[in-house]
Amino acid sequence: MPISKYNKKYLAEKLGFEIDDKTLFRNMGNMGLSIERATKDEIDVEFWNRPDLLSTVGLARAVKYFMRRSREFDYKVGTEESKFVINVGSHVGKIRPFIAGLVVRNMQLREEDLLEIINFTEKLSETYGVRRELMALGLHDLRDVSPPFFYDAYEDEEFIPLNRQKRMRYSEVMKGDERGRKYGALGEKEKRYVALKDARGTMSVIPIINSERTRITRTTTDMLVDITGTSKYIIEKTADLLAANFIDMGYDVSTILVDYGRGAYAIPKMEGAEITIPLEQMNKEIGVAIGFNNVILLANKMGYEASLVGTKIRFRVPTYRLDVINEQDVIEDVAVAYGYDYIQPIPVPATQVGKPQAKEEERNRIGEIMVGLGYSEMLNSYLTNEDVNFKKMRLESKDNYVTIANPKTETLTMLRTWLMPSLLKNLGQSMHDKMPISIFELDMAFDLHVNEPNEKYHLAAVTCNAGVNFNDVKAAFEGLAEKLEIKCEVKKADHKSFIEGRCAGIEVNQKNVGFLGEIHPEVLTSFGVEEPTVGFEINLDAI
Amino acid sequence: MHRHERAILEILKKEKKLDFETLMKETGLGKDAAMWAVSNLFSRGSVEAIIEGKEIVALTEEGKKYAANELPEQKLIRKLAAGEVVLDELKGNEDQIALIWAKKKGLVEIGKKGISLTEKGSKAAKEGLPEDKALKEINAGGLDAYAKYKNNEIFKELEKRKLVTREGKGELKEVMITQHGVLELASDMQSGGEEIEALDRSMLSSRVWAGKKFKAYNVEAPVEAKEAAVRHPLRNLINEIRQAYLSLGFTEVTGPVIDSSFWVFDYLFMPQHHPARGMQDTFFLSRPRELEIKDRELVKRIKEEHEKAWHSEWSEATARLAVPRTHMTSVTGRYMHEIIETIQKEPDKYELPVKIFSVGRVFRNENIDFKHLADFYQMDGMMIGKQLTLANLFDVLLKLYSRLGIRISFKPSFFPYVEPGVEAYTKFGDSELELFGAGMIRNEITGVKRNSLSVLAWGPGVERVMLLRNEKIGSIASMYNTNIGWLRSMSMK
Repeated sequence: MPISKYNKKYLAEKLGFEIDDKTLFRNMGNMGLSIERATKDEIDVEFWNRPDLLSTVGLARAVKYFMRRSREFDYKVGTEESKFVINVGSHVGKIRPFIAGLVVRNMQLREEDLLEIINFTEKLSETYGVRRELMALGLHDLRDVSPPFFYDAYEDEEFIPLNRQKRMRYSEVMKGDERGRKYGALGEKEKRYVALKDARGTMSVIPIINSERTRITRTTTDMLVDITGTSKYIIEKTADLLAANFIDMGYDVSTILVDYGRGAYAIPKMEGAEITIPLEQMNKEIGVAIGFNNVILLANKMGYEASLVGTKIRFRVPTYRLDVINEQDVIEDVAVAYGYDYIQPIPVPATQVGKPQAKEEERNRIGEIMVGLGYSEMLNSYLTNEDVNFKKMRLESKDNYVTIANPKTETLTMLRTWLMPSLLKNLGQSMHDKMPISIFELDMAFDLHVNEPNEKYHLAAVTCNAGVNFNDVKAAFEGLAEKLEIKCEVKKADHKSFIEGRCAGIEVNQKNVGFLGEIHPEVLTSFGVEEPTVGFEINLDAI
Repeated sequence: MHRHERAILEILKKEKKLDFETLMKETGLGKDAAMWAVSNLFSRGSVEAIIEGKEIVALTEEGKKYAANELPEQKLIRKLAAGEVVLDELKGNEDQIALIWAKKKGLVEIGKKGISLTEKGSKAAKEGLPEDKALKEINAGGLDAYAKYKNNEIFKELEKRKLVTREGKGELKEVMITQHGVLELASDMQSGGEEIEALDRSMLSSRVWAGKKFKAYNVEAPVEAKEAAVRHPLRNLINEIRQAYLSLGFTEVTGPVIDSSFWVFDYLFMPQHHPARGMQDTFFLSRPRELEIKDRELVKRIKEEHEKAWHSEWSEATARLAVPRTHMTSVTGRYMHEIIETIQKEPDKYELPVKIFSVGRVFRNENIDFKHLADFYQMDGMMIGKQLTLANLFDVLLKLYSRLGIRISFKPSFFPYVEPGVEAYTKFGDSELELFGAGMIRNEITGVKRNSLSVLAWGPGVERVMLLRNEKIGSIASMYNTNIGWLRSMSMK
């Protein structure tokens, strides 16, 4: 889950009122924001769903509503001259079809403002934009651009990328720049490169890097923002969100025009969806009895404007909320504003009798018998590696087992095919403990049958002690088999993990379901087991 | 009391303290008889004994056998040097031991052509292994040879192989009577007869014990406790959780560990670009890489829901990717789907609400440390019914956790598949410890409007409960990969 960091000083400034940490954190907790870490200067919050909270201004806005310090819901944008138009060309359609934008004016950028802007634009592209794939954005100094603008996929040409002195070709940026290698594939197809241009040439190679010419600095007062991506909805909603953020920073925002060749329209649209929900339905889902007036106040706490329409409530979803899909999300917000602490638990009348899984109960009974036979239970990871599962057991690995594609360590590369190696590992780690050691495990093992995973329950048990021998394990197994009425035969067999001539196969209906015997000394040595050990393992699903 | 014991106590009552030699002379007992009697008296606390110790070394049976001949690996390399042996013949127990040690010491190599001597091996075959020499010298020379070898690697190897043992052997020097001994002697004089030691079958049938005294033991003397065989504490907790669910009327369900991403993520409305679906968090499989999604109609619906809500293309190939489940909601979710489908066709088939639970292992691609494990247990629950509310959810969770002895509270949280979303937490010292996520399953997943059916769901971890209830367990990781010592140290109270 991504972590968002907030500068406490900047947050306090944007809140505009005094608040101590305890009160702030309590309110954030009640809003559903869990604080991972808080220091003198910073707060870390972990979440995924609310892009509008990725900025400090956005968090300040939400806290202000929640604490009823703000009831201003309208975000007004101005209109630029008609020459501020982005013309979309025909080649971009198959690569990155959509563009939106906005103009920000009258900024006075302090270091911390610039940092905030860079922070949240970057975070938005990485998280909500899914590493720039669905959405990415670029900032340009308005002094250095000459509208109209052109958005298209162009053939290879030259420009000076940000932070460079020399001209580079688009193709060189793709190969020679770190961001080019990371994001290049999103903006290139068949030697055409997605770019935003104006009358003076390339402003940005998208979604990779801007030009040095349009760089933002502390002295920038007016700014053009471009937003590109593969989903029209996502980039246009991002424009709405950015507009709200810049307005809350105290700047003026105005629209620009986008023309896909079917007539220009203005962006940001600043449209918030309207969702109407019967009050009764809302109360029924939450399990409370909230009155009409109260619902409107609760909606306000979450930044919604709300009004009464007969017996229903009409909510205007804030323009900057990108996460609200439908009425379920609104009901959740009302419940959050109401406060989970105030929702009284209500029992569900029911008369059903609970039923356990018969197999699970049977496995528990087998576990009890094993304890009765003197074995203590172990629980081990289902994950293992070829060295433990096969090699240390003197076995060859085939390809009929389940393997991990992306292991983080060499110790977890596959799902175990049997339990005996886990138990021998336990023994190896127990050599300083008092002998005898008798342990068992009753849990899952995995293999593959024609590329379909086969999940089964095994039972394995071992005893480690000076002087143990084949008869001890055979006696224990037969004691168990008798209790479970397993009709099985113990027959001479070969298994590399056991000492030759001291290993038997367990057969049910002439089919092998397991082995028992004295563990091979080489196996013992490889697990660090220093005393003779005997054991058995059976596939419980096969008996 | 045995007459030997009485004889000793009588002398000691007079003399208080005697050296062992004198004691033997005075009582006329042989060394073994005197030792036996003194050790009995000592175990009952009737005498004190002064023992002076010295270290001795001895060969074990196996050690003696090798000392008389030679070490198995010495024999093996000698035979190899003489060209006498091939690998296939090495089948016996001793041959296996010889092979392991010869390999370990780098004396032999095993290749395609069989077994052959290394340079080191050839040299050792000629000159003899130092371990072999040492074993023979210790056998012949006892302590002097032991003094020569005791601090070097050769002796350590012999000891590790259990060919030699060393122990402190005590020599009984002096014996003195205790207050208890005086009293024992006095009461023995009173009863005037021999006491019964061990009760046996013949005594029971012949009733010879009648009218006699049983010898009193020192019941306060320390003994070594027996180790009780036990079930794993986590298994006991899982069973307790199962009982808690069953007592609340929930039915147990199970399902696949290895599943398609579809049932683990897509069906549960997790966008395909959700960070939890990344390689960093989830194990993907290379065998099997993909699993078929059989319900075509459902695939169509889920594709539509995703594309509508997340504004990006939904890929079935991504949904087919096989994963070891990352939560148990893949199991309860699958059941929920079946139940809702059935209810829509046969509204009276189930008594509502339907309550299910499932306890099982889930997997996360974590760096394993004391806090994190790659696999652990979850105990998901679900309730499917008419007009279920958030207030109902709180009620059932409070009941479940009160059965487990944990007080919980709720705060809002976000999970893609529930709306509203809930985080249950508990007070842990001064801080809040987040326990698990819960909520009402989204309509996009159930495929029905909430006024016809709604679903409450929650997905707690089992290990957290264990940590909260047993302060002795320092970490989640210590519950797995354990040694028997940890298990034996766990209280079952």
